[in-house]
Amino acid sequence: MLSSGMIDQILQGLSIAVTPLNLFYCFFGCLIGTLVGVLPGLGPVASIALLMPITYKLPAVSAIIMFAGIYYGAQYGGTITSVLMNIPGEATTVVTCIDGYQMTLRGRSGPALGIAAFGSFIGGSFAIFGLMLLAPPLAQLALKFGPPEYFSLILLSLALISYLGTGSPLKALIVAIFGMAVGTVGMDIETGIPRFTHGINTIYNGIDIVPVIMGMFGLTEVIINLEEGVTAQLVKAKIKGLLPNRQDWRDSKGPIFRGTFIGFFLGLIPGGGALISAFASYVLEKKISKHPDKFGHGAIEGVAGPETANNTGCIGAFVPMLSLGLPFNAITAILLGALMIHGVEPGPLFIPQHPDIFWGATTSMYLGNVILLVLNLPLIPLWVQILRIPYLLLAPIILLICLIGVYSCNYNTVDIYLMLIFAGVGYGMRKFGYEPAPFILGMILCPMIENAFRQSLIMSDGSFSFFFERPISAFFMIMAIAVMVTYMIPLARKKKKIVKVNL
Amino acid sequence: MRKRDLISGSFFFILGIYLIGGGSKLQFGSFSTPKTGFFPVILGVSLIFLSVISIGKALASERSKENHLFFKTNSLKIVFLFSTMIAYGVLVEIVGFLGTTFLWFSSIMLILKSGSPIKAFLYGAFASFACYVLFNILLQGQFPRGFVGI
Repeated sequence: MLSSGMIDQILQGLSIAVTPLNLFYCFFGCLIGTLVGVLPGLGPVASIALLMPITYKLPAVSAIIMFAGIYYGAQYGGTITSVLMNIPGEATTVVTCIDGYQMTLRGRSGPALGIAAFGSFIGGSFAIFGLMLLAPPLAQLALKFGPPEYFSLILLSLALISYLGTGSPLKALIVAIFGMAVGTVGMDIETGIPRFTHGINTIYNGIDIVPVIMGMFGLTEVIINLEEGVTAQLVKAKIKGLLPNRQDWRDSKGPIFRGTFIGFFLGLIPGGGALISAFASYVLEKKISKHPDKFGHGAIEGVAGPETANNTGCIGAFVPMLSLGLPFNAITAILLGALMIHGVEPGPLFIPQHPDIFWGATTSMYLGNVILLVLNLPLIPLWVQILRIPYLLLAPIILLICLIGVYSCNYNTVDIYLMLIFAGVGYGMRKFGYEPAPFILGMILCPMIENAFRQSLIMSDGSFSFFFERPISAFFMIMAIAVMVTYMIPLARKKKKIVKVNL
Repeated sequence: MRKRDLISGSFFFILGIYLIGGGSKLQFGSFSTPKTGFFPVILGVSLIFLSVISIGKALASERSKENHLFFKTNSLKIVFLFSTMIAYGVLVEIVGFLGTTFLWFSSIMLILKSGSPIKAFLYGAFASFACYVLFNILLQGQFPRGFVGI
């Protein structure tokens, strides 16, 4: 299964990951990730955006190691509030609240947190192995892709992201196009003609992704929290016996095994990742359980499966990002943006051209999982104490980091104003029921899809049938159309029904 | 959501028209030789198509009572936050990084926490000093010194 070449590369990656600097950033990422996972209202997307300017002076591999640590660390952290307080620290741990909190009410918070940590570790370790095995051959295959294949793959990704997202698929698609429209601002790469710049020189090279992300995620999050008055309830429950007993392990081994596969493979799909993996795992466990009535009343399987799946899903989402250069969720989109800021061009050539970053980052994920296991179990009481920090003290600190972070991108005050504009856009979108994640994906994918589309049309002399003439492209196009039709048909049926009622 | 969907659908419809208009002014080219304005026009057409579906869906849905759209609570505080952040952008190059950060953080603490001014200034001093050490000294940022000189 593992060739000697791959073993050499893993060893090379390990030698990069264990350098004191990278170990420190891995630890720091895991720590920050757990912290933001614990704190409701501050997610990994906003945290990565906030910390992005700090990484400008770091090597790309250290930055990615730290950001990856934040991503999977947040999944661990979110579990703590879900189990102890019935408040999901992260959207991906919503499902954990159902049985995790019930276990706490029955005095079994320790085993719930313990099995979540062990499940995440086991699933995460397998997923890293899968990432190492799958990403390089996928990148090799992607080298055969031409513009039509890329165009149809991105189209399929956008369709799936809209379809599998948490809100309305129609709204997600609209927002993705809105993001692409913002992505067209600036100089056209092929002709050099500026588009929609209205004479503002600062945006001549396009709108920077950092002010957009910070505005839409960091600042909007703070505004929403201030508006809704986020308050953390003090935890009085005593946590004891973090190690699951033999029966707990017996009940959990199946869910952990299945959660690993569900999480990893759903992580590979656009719009999949941690959130859908956790839900899918819970539904499956309940369906195949001999005692489905136990679910919702403190079944350890309802914690073990989803917790394994959400961590595995996070790592699975790295496969398309690192091998194809395509982000399939908001976090990998930001990570892609971070790579680009460091001058690394993601895509099929990423692994052959930057093996140090790929193998260094993947091996550090394994170390990160070990760090999280060691860090989390003994530190749970400390994380609980952090929940006591009043949000009115936390909010100004987040805002200050946003301000300084965004200003330090180019030392240009226009970036501050852009951040404020996009905070307004993000706030408006949330109020009107639009998810901001497809916007970021659309904005990041815009140059890729535009280039691929234009090049394909030039190659085919303007013929759209070209996308169906090449087998890989035809496959992606048919899939994309099928996904769109799947969600357009119920929409039309619903309309008909309403018309009938009105008649 | 009916009213909200109608408003947002109309916004995206207008944005679609803007994209088509803006794209048409640039070189559109043709399908065999697409130019600068080609992709924005395609996006505009797609946006108009989807927003029409969204508006249609909203019109077909039943009317329901809708809650407040913006700023349920703390509206003044949020407006103040935005204003101070604009002010930060204006002042940072005149007053300098340390001074502006101190003023900004102190005023935010004064408004959000509603505590005593001395406490707010102490928080401001600590936060600005910590940021100065982290961003300016440790990370060697090139922040403006302003007339204060630091």
